[in-house]
Amino acid sequence: MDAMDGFDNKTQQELQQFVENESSKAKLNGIIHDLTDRCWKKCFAQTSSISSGSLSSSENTCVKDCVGRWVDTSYLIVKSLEKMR
Amino acid sequence: MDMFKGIAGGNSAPVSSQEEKKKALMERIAQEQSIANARALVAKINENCFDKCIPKPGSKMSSSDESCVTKCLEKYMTVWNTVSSEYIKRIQTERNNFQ
Repeated sequence: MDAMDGFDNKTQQELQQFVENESSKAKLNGIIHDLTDRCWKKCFAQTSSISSGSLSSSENTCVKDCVGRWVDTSYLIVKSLEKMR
Repeated sequence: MDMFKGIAGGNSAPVSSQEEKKKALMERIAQEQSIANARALVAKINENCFDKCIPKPGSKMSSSDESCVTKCLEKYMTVWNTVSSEYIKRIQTERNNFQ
């Protein structure tokens, strides 16, 4: 990589580590964008117009449960697939 | 990767030491990341708040449409933050159980 020219080995390693950390952060952000979109659609499907910028306690519960059940679902699928082998 | 060249190669402000070049490169990468993240969020808000607030597009934006969009924007960001902290909390719990 041309950009690495002029950096010594130690600095190159540091930079590589930094880039790896940043890309796992980017991956996590991608998951959160997807999940926010999904839970927004689940929890506000019945809401015809937005009357408040903040979350009511039932909306807050819905969003949190949505995240929890999403993670449960993905674990359950992995477990079920393992049993099928 | 052209974006790195200006920093490592130095056609912008002259950077003296390798340490400074490293820091500048890291800052640039982190900045690019946060811009990409903000763009993704704005695109999602646009999509979801348009669907929610403008079910039947009229000849112009009404004040109630505008108020809906403004509140929707605020609400979507709140949901993003809730999802983020809830997801991270759960993943950390799972990791601790696994160890």
